[in-house]
Amino acid sequence: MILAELTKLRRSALWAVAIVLPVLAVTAGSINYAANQGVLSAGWGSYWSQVVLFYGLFFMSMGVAVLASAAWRMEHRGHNRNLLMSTPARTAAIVGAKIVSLVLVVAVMQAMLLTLVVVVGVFVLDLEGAPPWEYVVVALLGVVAALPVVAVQSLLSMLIRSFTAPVAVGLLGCAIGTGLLYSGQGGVVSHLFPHSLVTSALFLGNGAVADSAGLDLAAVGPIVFAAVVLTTALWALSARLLSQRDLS
Amino acid sequence: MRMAVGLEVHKTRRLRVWVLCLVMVVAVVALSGMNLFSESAREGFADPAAQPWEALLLGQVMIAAMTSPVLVAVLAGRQVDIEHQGQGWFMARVAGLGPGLLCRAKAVVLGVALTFTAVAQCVLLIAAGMVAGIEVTLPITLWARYGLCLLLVDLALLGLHLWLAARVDNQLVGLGVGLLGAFYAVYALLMPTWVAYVLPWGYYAAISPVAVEGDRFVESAPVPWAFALFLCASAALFLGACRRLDRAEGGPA
Repeated sequence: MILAELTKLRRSALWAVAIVLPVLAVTAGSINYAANQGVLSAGWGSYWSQVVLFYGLFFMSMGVAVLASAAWRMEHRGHNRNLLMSTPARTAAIVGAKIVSLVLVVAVMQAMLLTLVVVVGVFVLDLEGAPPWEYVVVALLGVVAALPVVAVQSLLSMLIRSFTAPVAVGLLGCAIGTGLLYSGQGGVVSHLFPHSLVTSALFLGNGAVADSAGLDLAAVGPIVFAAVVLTTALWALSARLLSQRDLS
Repeated sequence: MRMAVGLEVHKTRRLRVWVLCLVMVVAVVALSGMNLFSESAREGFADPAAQPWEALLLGQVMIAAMTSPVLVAVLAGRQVDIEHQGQGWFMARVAGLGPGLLCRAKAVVLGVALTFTAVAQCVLLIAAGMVAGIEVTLPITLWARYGLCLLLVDLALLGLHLWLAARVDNQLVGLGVGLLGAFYAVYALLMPTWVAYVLPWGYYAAISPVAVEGDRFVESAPVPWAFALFLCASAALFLGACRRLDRAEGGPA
């Protein structure tokens, strides 16, 4: 089923978003780093922090929201949803395949980001030393932390026929997530909110962001645990709702 | 035109356009004013040298640059997508309303919604600053100018997104463009000034009424002729595109 989902996505325009978003993040971060060398300290740390600053805060989650809407769009057109529901596959498998295929797209997005960061850092900005291995961990952790966002946006896109409405909810989610993280009132709640989780993960060890945690087990453990629990719950809820809804 | 606008107003109810705008107003005000209640910020509320209003205004500029392009793309996409899905272009044409006229009516209705959004954002943020206890004189002219410029940029981009949503059936394109535009708008705030004038979304940064110079805020304004040219070109292109849509056979996509 996952292969079938990936085949459906093969000719979709969502790959443009998945590729252009990291390209923009690295381009903008690099230009900003190069233009502010007098203010920023030289090296990989400052460069990385400029690249993921707004990407982690807002754009990665919004990108996921657009990808999820695009993935469910084809099921809402014509009678595709009826065809999908008439297959012998369980609803958990249908929703699971959507989530896994979307996570693979997000993984491509993160791989693209990481590759571009290294290529631009080494060959364009001529930064000293090898790129720190921590960035690989943070990028991977970003994929894990994006799991609940993928699951919740997939659920919304499954329930709402409109392409833009789930993205609008995603925009609101980003605002709430950022508010929870940086108002200082979040605490455990920020770990239970999908959009906050992505920001927390991508800002680990980020020197440009105040109050960002270091890249250690005490910070990584709760993020991974929360991501797994939230995704499982949202997956189960999506499967249940899909089985209860009438054919459209 | 009046009938078309009336029809669009009815459509906005089911599409929950007003709810969406209201929610975004609350989100922008909450995020922009997040630091208002922190101890470090409160210390400078009575000190003109700390420029608390300017700091708050710059916060709004940053958050509005991040959210407004997506909001405009979402509003335009929602209002146009129903025509694609429900054969609305065809039905309207039968009733004597061409696609171009329909797009202009959508621009009027969504323009009112965006006006409400921009005004409410500014007024509520000022109210939040006063409630938090800022005692320094409010730079009301600066804020009013920013509110007006924000609205004008929103309207210019609304025209572009309405045309895009009408021409391209797949709303992923319009939303993707809006998302990438938001990215550009935010980074244009951090880059050299000329960058903001290269793409339409950069004007969210160009209209910033304050800029950081050293450790203090200084007044800033967009280049008048460039801003005027951008607005006139946007209006002319939108009206021209609507005329073409009206003349084309069948639906716009």
